[in-house]
Amino acid sequence: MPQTPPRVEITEYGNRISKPSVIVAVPDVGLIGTIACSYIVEQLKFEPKGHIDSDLAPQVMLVRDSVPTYPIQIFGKDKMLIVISGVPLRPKFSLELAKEIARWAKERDAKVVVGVSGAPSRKREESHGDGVPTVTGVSNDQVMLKGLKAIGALPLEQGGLTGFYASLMKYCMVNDQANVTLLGESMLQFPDPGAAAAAIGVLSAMVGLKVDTKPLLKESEEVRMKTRELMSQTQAAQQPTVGNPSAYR
Amino acid sequence: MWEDDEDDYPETSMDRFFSRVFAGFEDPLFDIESRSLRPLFRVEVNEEFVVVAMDLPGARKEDIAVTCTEELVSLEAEMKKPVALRVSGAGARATRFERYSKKVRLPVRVVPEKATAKYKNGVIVVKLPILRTGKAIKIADG
Repeated sequence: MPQTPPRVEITEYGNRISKPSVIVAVPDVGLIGTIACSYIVEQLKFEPKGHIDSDLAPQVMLVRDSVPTYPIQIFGKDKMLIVISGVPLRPKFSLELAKEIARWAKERDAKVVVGVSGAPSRKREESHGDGVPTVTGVSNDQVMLKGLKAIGALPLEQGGLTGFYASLMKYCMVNDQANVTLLGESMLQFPDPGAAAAAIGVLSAMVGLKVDTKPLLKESEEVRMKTRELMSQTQAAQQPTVGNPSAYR
Repeated sequence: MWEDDEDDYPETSMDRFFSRVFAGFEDPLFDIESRSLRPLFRVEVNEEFVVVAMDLPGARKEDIAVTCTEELVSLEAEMKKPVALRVSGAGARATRFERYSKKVRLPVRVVPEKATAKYKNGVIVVKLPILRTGKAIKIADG
């Protein structure tokens, strides 16, 4: 009997933004994407525009001011939508989520899907996070790839994407949806607000944001303290699970 | 044991920034009784060294004490100023933490007398030479 595909449901509310740029952040290396995108949402007062739910999602509801909230939310302003996951993703859900976001973006006639993540850098750890981190970029769109240097990112020549962002790129390619994935040079296993600030700089140039990153850099220590638990959970979620091989599940 | 008054720690824009997405998960990275946080850490073994890195935002070099044996690295560090974090085990109230405390059991034995440590921007990196023991085995013709 064929299995029913896992349900991943994207719900939007309010007025729909047409032909949006869709920016996507999940907890990953250095928490670059989640720090950068949460900061943008707060600074520019993006509004809640939707949420994503799934039977495969972690059984978590976030509570803010006594109001329960889905852990994966969509925020919007002007021509942009930002998807942020506040919880780490296990591999199976991560794959299905990437697939559905790519499909939905294509259906919404998105101008581009932008993944914001980190590239672990031993050099950055050895320098104790000193200096301005490099931001590299990968794109399945040749015009956007050529435009990376102009916005302060270096095209990644050799290397690879892994995890959620790899799946997001793959399914954007399958759906013929333009994708750019930005990778901020990051501390190996610690939250890196400096790298998030560098990624914001490139993202701002790409989609036309005006975001002052000085407060983020100034409060870097506080950001690192407050994201410790999420970083720890993210590392745990990315470990292989113990038990029967998946073929027997 | 200690009931911090929430008015002592008024909500900042950074609190709203995090609360929007990162609600207060139960945090095993702390010890309320000793008011200490357990720092994020990373251990790596290469051919020559065991490298232990720890994330210590808010600590000053002069307030950090690191000791090690052949099998264990211990760190204690006072913070420049206490930090208030909401931890769900304390009824979601802000709890004040004043220090970092961590013991890391090493995967291989090291030479503590030759250990070095560098600290900058809230990150400490400790390098510990691996202890080499054993004797060479002579290989005879078969």
